[in-house]
Amino acid sequence: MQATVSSKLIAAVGVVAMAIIGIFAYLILTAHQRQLIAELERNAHQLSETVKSSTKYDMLLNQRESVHRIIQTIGKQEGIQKVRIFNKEGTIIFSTDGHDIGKMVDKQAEACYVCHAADQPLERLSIAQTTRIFAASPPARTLGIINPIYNEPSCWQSACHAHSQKQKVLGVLDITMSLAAVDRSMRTSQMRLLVFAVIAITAISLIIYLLVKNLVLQPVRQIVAATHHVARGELNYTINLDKHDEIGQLAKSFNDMTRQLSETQRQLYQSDKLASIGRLAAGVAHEINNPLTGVLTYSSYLLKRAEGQPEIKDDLEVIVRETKRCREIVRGLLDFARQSPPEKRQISINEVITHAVRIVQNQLAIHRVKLATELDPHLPLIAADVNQIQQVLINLFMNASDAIGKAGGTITIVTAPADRTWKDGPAGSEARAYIQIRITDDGCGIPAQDLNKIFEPFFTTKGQKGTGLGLAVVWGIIEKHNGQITVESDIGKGTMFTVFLPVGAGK
Amino acid sequence: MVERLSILSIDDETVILESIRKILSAEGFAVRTSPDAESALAALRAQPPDIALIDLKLPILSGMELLEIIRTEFPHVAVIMMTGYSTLESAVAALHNGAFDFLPKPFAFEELLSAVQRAGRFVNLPEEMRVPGFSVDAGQLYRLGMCAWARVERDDTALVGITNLCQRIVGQIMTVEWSMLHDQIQQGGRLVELAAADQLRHIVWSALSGRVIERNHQVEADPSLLNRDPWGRGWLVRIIPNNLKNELANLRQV
Repeated sequence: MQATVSSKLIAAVGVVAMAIIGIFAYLILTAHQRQLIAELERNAHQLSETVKSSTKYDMLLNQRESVHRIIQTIGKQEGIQKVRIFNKEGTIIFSTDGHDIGKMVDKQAEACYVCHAADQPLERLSIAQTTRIFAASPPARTLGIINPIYNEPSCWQSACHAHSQKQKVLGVLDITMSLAAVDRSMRTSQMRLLVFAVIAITAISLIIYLLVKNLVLQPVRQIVAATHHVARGELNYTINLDKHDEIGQLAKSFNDMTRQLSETQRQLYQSDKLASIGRLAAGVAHEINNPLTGVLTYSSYLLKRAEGQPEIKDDLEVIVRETKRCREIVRGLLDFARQSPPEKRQISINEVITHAVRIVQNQLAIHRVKLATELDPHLPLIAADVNQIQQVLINLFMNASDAIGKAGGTITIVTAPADRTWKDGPAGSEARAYIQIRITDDGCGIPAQDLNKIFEPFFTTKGQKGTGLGLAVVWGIIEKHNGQITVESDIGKGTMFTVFLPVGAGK
Repeated sequence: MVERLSILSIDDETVILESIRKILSAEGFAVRTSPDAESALAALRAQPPDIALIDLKLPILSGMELLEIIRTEFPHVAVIMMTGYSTLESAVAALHNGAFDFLPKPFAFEELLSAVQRAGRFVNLPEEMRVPGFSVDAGQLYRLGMCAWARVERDDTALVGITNLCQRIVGQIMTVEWSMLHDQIQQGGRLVELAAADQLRHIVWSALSGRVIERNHQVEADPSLLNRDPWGRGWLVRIIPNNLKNELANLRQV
């Protein structure tokens, strides 16, 4: 999967870059070529003007040898292929190539074509019209330029009387120059652009690959790994991603989701557990009471009759004691199972807290435990059972006091609007506002490995003193109020219980 | 025992009937047993016993219905309800409906004996003394059955104690075995156990549910205060009631 993301991106960007560079290169190269050829044309034109003016005098005097020499000299310059002069009929009169002299040129080809294309020959031409590019000796191309030699008064007035006054064009000077240098320069430019394009596309691809790898692939791989962990049931797994971009947000919301999920799962697990313990307890109590009565009455009666028989009495005492222990266990279960549904009405949580504090204050003062309250006076009313909420509070206060121990300490009770809302119930009813009650003590704290278990029935750290049902009852009450209780603890520093209860009149 | 007290025990569990018959016969009671309400009624009509031990859960006619019939037809019979612990509300209701006491299952020999002994002393009392009464003006008093009372105080806590009828039946109280402080107790649940001069231990049921926040130190120091002033200074524990309004309906005003 990771290969496709980066390779797709690289392919897409590569194609676009190639197209842009290609168009760019085409435009630059054609402009460059046009410029080079224009310069060459200008040079050729200048040269042909030079030839024309330097041979003019010799022409007038009809000194053919001298004209020949001039043409030969100029024709030896680098890049010039041929310099030819032909007359109006197309006969080559002068040429750097001796074999050409006297031959006729094909009017349909070469330079003649420009003027003779139409039936009536043109007499005046622009520079562009005088030049032509053709492949005379491939692969090198050739630039040809013609320069018509016009009739002038000095021509028909000269002594030789070779030309009549009626003629307009006496002949044509034709110079052909090799384009090899231009073509070479073009090839170099093309090569240079090609290398640049390859380097640019490679660099872009590399940068994209690295960016995708660091910004996308690695975090995505981490998130994918996290989903596998969560799928295996590790709901406490969190993604450690220190990024603030969209993927960082995804990781953060993933973490939020798993946390919510694990919280919901814990709640469901807990309420399931409470419900099944309740059902089981009722069933067990019903079935076990009668047989246990038989055991207990007979054994206790036997014990009474065993007075004076120490060897029997000791054993019977064990039987009676252990049977009574069974009875206590069953009672504990039933106490727990017999929680009545809350009778809700609109109450002010602050009032309930104040009342509960007053009830336990003297008791706690004996243990040198202080109670401090920070109650938000603007809290909305909640729908709750006063007695049950009071039971929750007193249970939590007493637990806090036990955690503080004999050294003395402080229990702080804070109320505030909850900074969170969540859907209550799996049906996904509308999110509700909550209030929170935080009960913090500076006692001994709860070991991390016990934090998950403290709400479970029969979990106790108080040995024989506790039943292990106090917090389970608290949990049950809060759950029946559609609320939530959470706990945070630091060994040696203290524990904070936070109770969330929904605002409003809801049943 | 000058005169043998007669007992009718009604339960659908043979093992319980047998144990009761065996134990109480050995203790000097005349015991008859019935497996259901129908045969129990026949036995009652043939010869009313002093004490009826009735299981709350009986086939055909329930223990509660049988209690109703005994209250109207045989008002002199002291009824002890045997209840499973899961039916504490029914136990309280039985006391409200006139049962003398209840005995939560599973019970030990000495618990059975003390309950039956108390009932025996109760039926031996002259008729005018069989109702708990009080003469001291100490505020609104409510009682659960014959033995426990409760009074709501101004600070919303409640005091719980034993009635004068209870102390009369139990006799000289030697020691009190207390509930744990901070314990959550239930209406009809065990409040204290009294050790009396008769060597028996008598359980007192709490008249209200709540959390125990204080014991009466005076009674701790001198349990005989329970005998001398059961309504006033002889209160037992102070609790924070947690279901006062509903529970008061289960109590009778003294």
